[in-house]
Amino acid sequence: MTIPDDRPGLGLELNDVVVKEHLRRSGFFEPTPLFDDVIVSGFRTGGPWPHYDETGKWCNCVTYE
Amino acid sequence: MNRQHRIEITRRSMLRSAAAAAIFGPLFKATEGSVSAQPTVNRNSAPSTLKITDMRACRVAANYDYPLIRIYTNQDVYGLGEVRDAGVEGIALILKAHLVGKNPLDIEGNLRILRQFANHGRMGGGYSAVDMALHDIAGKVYGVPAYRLIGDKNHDRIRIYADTTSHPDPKVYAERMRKRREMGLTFFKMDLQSDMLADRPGALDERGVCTEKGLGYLCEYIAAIRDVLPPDAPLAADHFGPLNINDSIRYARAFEPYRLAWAEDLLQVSEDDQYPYLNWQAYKTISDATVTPVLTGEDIFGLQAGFRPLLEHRALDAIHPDIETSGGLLETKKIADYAALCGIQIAMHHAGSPIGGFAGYHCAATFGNNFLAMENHALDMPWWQDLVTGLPKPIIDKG
Repeated sequence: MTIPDDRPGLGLELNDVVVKEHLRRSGFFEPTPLFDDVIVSGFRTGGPWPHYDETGKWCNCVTYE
Repeated sequence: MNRQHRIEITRRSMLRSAAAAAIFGPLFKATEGSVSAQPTVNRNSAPSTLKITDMRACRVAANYDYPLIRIYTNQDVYGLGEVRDAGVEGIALILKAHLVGKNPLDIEGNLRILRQFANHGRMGGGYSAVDMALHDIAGKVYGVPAYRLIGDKNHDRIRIYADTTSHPDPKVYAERMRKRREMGLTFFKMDLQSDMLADRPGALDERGVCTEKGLGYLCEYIAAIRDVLPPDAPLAADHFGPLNINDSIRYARAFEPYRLAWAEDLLQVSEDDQYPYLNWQAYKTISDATVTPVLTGEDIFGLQAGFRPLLEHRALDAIHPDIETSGGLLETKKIADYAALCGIQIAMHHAGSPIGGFAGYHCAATFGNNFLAMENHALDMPWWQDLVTGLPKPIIDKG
């Protein structure tokens, strides 16, 4: 097979009609709010947990500054 | 990323943008009217403010299901990716919260965060799908094919090899292979399951492994299939059964007169707790004991904790990453380059849709002379190539 040089990225689009004919279960790129969780970690800025703010200031930590 | 380092960057970039605004702000204002007089400046997109907004998925029912994802941005450009075949799209969707708000063009930075959620087998599928989608987005934004983002186009044509389903009757099996040849393919693979011989007395031992008699039968299949192929055509073999190290050596030695392109995933039973495909000591023992080329790797994720020991110890003749598990374009390019450095060849496993297929083709185009061929597992499914548009058809043109 050959790769076209004039198509940016992977160079293809889905054929929505054919893909919808062959779905394992209903749902074609539906919203995924279940996966909108905020991942809480020291790397996450903003919020009531210890973190660095945008200026680099260490916030919301009671044990040390 | 080092936390201190990150803060440094944040501070520096803030100072820089503040300074730039102070110095150049008025200047830009003064020349605002003349901007439209520069037709070469494309203002349709602003890569530096590009942000990931969402990830969604669907799953195509096929011989091995294809979980497909789209990563959306705030500028109407989106990327397509594919999770490892027979996997689930959730393995990509759990990564969404780590990507939303990030610039998709920061490919390595984004993937570094996701690496802790990736592992061998189907667990490599989410990371790999995201890598594909990010390269799709970056290629669209910069107006270049995805391969251009990772290297030069060293191969104008990507050789496709055919997987062929087996049949207990060697004549029927050979007929199936002859049809593959009629499709114009030039590189072939056959499945040689030991349990095809279950009805033949004395062919298998109590573990389901071939006796000497059984190995003779397996060689009859190879001979029957060699007869319908061009004499110089590469022919590989796969799916042998529950072989341990010594079984693997016996099988590989029995196949030596037929000069297979490779014997794939021979080792299935490992004495230790490792995945057989990570057991480089066992594979080294096998490949040192035979001249049949030994290959594995479709379930290995990543270079560092995956392919590296196999390559450095020359435990294989060729590796066989699947771009939907191995880590996408960026990681698989690194794996292929390191294989070249170690003098090991590379073929590519693929049983997915054209999305993962083209991720693999773009990646393989940049490989060096150690590239052999990439698999297609859907030659018997006419609608495989209809799943996508925008490409010259047929996608697989004479292999």
